[in-house]
Formats: sequence, structure tokens, C-alpha cells
Amino acid sequence: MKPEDVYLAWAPPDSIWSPWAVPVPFAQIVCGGLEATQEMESVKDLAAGLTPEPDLAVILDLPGDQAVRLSLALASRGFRPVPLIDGSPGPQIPSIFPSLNIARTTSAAAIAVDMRQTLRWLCIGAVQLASVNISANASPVFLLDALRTGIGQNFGPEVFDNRWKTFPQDFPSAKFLLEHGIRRILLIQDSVASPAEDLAHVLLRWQQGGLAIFAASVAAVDAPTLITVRRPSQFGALWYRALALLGLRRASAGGFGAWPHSSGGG
Amino acid sequence: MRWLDRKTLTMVPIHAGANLPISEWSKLRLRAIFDYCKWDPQCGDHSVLGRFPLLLEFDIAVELGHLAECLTREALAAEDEILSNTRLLRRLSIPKSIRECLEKPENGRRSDHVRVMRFDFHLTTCGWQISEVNADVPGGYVEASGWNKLFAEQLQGYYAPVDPTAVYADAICGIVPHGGLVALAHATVYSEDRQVMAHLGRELESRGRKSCLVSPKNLDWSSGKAVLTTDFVTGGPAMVVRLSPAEWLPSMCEKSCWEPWFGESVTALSNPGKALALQSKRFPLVWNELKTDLATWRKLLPRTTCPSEIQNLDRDDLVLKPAFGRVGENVAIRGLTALLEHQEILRSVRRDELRWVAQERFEVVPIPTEEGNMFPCIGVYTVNGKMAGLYGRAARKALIDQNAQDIAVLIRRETKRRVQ
Repeated sequence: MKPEDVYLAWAPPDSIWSPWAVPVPFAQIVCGGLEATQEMESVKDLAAGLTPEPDLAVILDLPGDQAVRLSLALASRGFRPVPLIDGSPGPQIPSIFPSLNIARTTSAAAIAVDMRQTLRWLCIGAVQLASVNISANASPVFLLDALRTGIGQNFGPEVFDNRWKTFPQDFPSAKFLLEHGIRRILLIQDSVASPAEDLAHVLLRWQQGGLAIFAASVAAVDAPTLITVRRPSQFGALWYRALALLGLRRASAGGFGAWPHSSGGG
Repeated sequence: MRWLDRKTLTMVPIHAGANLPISEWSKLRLRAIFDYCKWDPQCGDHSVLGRFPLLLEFDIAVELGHLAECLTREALAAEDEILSNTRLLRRLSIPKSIRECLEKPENGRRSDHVRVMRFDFHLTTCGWQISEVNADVPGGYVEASGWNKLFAEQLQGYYAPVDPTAVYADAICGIVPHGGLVALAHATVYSEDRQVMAHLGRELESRGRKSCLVSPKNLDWSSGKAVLTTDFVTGGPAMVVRLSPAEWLPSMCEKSCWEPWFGESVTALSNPGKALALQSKRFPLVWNELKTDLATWRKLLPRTTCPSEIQNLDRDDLVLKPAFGRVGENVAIRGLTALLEHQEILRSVRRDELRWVAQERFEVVPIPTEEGNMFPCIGVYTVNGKMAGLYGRAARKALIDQNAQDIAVLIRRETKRRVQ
């Protein structure tokens, strides 16, 4: 399967949510032989508690492969998965540099965020989605990778740094969602905790725009709780986007600062 | 509209073509993603890729190229003069740690780096003017190469301008021998940057060079030579191409890792860190202390001053810009910038006037499109001083920022000469 075919399976031209599907992992993906049907056996019952409703959008902020698997389970119930994964799997791009051999075969230890299982499931999903009938304006399920910032790890200069964050401009606006009938957002995470800081920048804008934000743990997706998103640091700040990169080095206090959305390309 | 009064409507040097049908445009979008590495085609609710092209007469493309070459020549001469006068460096708001590197003697410095710049031209009521030069790490290659070419296939009678990625790659290959390695240094965490480097890497590979995508922090330096000793790539690149802004380098890695960018490197660079002297929006503030003739700059860049010299900054005729802003971020224009943001920028300027500039505002001539009036901007690249391509953007307001769209630029085919 070619990278563009995998992308088109996840972002079909007829879906109103496809423009937001982030091409980054798809442009760098290589799909091997897959037994999609067999793999999907383990996914079937994951989303038993959720049914699409016209006013509902879902965000899956789970470890990448888990988010993809759950989104496929939701797709079989009529939801439209929308991958917003903005990370690059590794230093090599075999789909772009077919003869590039300067890079060694990269071990997981040499990469900040191991995306191999996420990509594998995106490949499986491409096969699976081709056989599922989802309406053009189905309730969207936005996929993130909860491990995107590589929290708690120390990355030296020898490591390929593929961490990433999500930003408000990666999502539809509250206005767009409301115009398309979405009134409720369900955030599914490992546990019912506050949203990740980068995601809080998105959710607070939606909350201010009139959307209700619910959260549920992945173990009990049918028991959501209404939450109030608190103001994250640097919310709406002038330099929020422009500062982001600087936060990628570990701060002296051990945490991360803010990061910009892009650096060059002025 | 004084300037336009002298022209007939048919003489307007730039206009918008018709929108492509959505089905055709969607196919081009997909090809842009997978053939040209356009990985950020959506921003919020709007598509980053426009559905119409900007159409230029051949003579206008030649004129813009000529102006960009003049600007480059003058700028590089000015850069030499600034680097020999440390007092001037200070006025550009270049961070102290970087300034100290630039102030060191030039012993052993390499001089044959590849220099790429992009000048952003706007058609105003007073003719062509520029808003700035991206002299450090200009972007837009994906669009100015790929999107232009894809659109050119759709329109008879027009062709794509020269391909800046190809010209840039050729210049790099002038230094890097066949089979040699080029390190493409960027913030690997930013797919927007990685897409540009992947696009350039593919072009280099097609010319028989090897390339690797790394972060500046992955680079080691030994006796001024760049070395890669990571877990995923090793070797000595014959050249390092950078897309991380020079002023950010000290925040990305240890001094031994970033200092060579500002003088000690004997490995060829593009761009070298000294480009920061021209990247600073405060560059015009030192013009009067230079011997270099900056006639083209003086003609095309609106009058620029330090905010400390202006009593009232909250005015309709002023544009406030950070000395090292990127992609139109934190530019304040009354009536265009959201009120709250404008006020916050004003407060920031007042707190630290030396990190900002105030520029006279020009009136951009809008062009009618099927989507309403749009304000175009044409970025003109130069590589080693020669015109190297055109990058189109357009916005619904007269401010090119992250909400602007990438627009294909095409030239009317009325002569067999190509703009080179």
C-alpha cells in the first residue's frame, strides 16, 4: 500500500473532517504485509459504550497505537477517525529517500518517541477503513498520541528528537464545530485527569466558544464527567507559538517550557 | 491609489486567475503532500493552499528578480561593514552571546558559504515595496517549487517561475562533491521545518548527494569541522544547511555546538549565522552609519525607526515588528491586528523598545478573486545573489501571517525566455 493510499483511507475526500488529518506520519510511512482482519479481532469490543451522536466529537489522547486501535473500534460504530498525529517516526524517511543509507537502522532507544506500533496500526487501519461505511459528516474522533512529549525522559544530542505538541490551529475552531452541530466534546485519556497542557489550549478555546467538555477514562468510556478546563500557562500569550521550540531543551527545573509551532520558514 | 492612476487597468502587473474546480484542486493538494512534502496543508478552519494562481507578466517577473538581486548585493556589502563594527551589531539587538562570536577576528573562517535570501514584495499604491528580507532561514521552497509547478500544469499560456529548491540544490552541489553528505539541520520536532528539509533532501539525492535530517544539537564540531556522532547517523558532512533561526541556536544546545555557526566553521554552511545581521528588522537603523550605497533598499523599504524615537506608537500609519519576528508573528497594525493583541504588543514594545522597530505603513493594492479581495505578497528568492524563484501568498487582510494562503505564482508565456 502506498503512503497516499494509506492517507486517503484515513482522510477520504468525502469527509468534512478530512482536511484536518495531519499528513506527517503518512508521508513517512511504509506498510508491510498485514493480516488486518486477524489484528482487528483484538479491537472489536473496545468501544462498546460509545455510539455516535450528531452533537458529539471525541478526542483520544492515549498512547499512539492505543488511540489508533480505539479509533478503529469507534469507526466500526460509525465515527470518523481523524488522525492529528504530527510526529515523524524516525530520522530516515524510506518513502522519500529510497536510496538513502547514511543513517543506521534506528533502534527505539535512539528515538525520543517510539512510533512503530502507531504506524503499524495506521497501516492496519487503512485496510480496515476501506471496508467500513462512514457517513461524510459522521461524528469525528480526533486522534493524538499521549506520549508525544516523551514526558519524564532525558534526551541527549545522540537521540533523534521527534517529540511534538498539538496546537489550536491543528483543530477546527469552536465556530466550525458549532456550525456543524457539535455541542459536546468527549476527551478520552488513560484516566480522568486534567487535559495535557498543550491540549488545554485547544479545549479552553472550545469551552469559551460554548462547547461542553467531558472527560472519561479509557476503561469506562461510557461514564463521562463534565470538566472545566483551567487556563494553561501562556494561554493566548503573544509568544506562545514563537517560544515553543525553546522548551524542547529540558529546563533547569526539569520540566518543559513553551514551544513554538514552527521555527524557520519566515 | 496615486500610482495606479497612472496605469490603465490592463497594466495592473499582477492579477488572480480563476479558482480551480475543487476536485482538481484536491488532486493537486494530494500531490503537493506526497510529491513535494507539503505536510501542513490546513491551519485552523482554512486551507493553507489557495485555489487560484497569481498571474504575472514576464516583464514584472524580470523586474522583481532584478530588484531582489540589487537588494542582495547591497545587503551583503552592508553585512561586511556591520560585522567589522561591533558597535553597529549591538544596535541590531543581536543577543550578546552571539555578538561576542561575531566580534572575533575572522582567522580561518570559510567564505564560500551558500547564501539564500527571500525578499517579500508587495504591490502598494506607491508601486512595489518590500516589507522585509528573510536573510537567515527563509522557507516556502515547498510551495514556490511544488505548488507553482502543479498549478502550471493546469493553466495554458503560463509557466512556473524558476524552481528555488532546484537552484538551491545546484548551489549546494557546487560545493559538495558527488556522493558527499549534506546535513540538513532543523528543529526535528517541527514537521513544518522537517517538510522543507525532506523536500530539499530529495532534490539533493536526485543529484547524487547524500543527505541526513538532523537537529542542530546533533552536530559536533572538531577543529571547526562539523561531525555527526549520533545513534542514528555518523560521518562528516561536507556542508550543513540550517532551517533553525540563528538567534535560537544558543537555546538549543551547548556553546561548543552552536558557536561555529557564527565564525569558526570550516565546513560550508547555508546560511552562516552572520546572516542574522541582515535578518534583524533593525538593519535600517544603522544605514546612516554605513558607507555602502543602499539605494535600492532606501527606495523599496518603508522608513523604519526605533520605537524609542516615536512619541505616540498607537497610530494608524505605523507597523510595529519584533526585531526577530517570523512568519508575521506579533506584527501590530492598527485595524488589522486584533485589538487585544495590538494592545499587548504595544505594551511589549514600550517595555523593551530596543527589540522592536516601527515601520511606516504602506497601502497594499488588493486584487479581486473569486473569493473576494485578497492582498498578495510575492517572495523573491536569491541564491548566491541571483534570482532563484517566486513564492506567492495572499491574505484577506493586508498582513501576511499564519492565516495567509500559499498561492501559486505563474508567468504569462509570451516569450520563450525564462526568468533566470
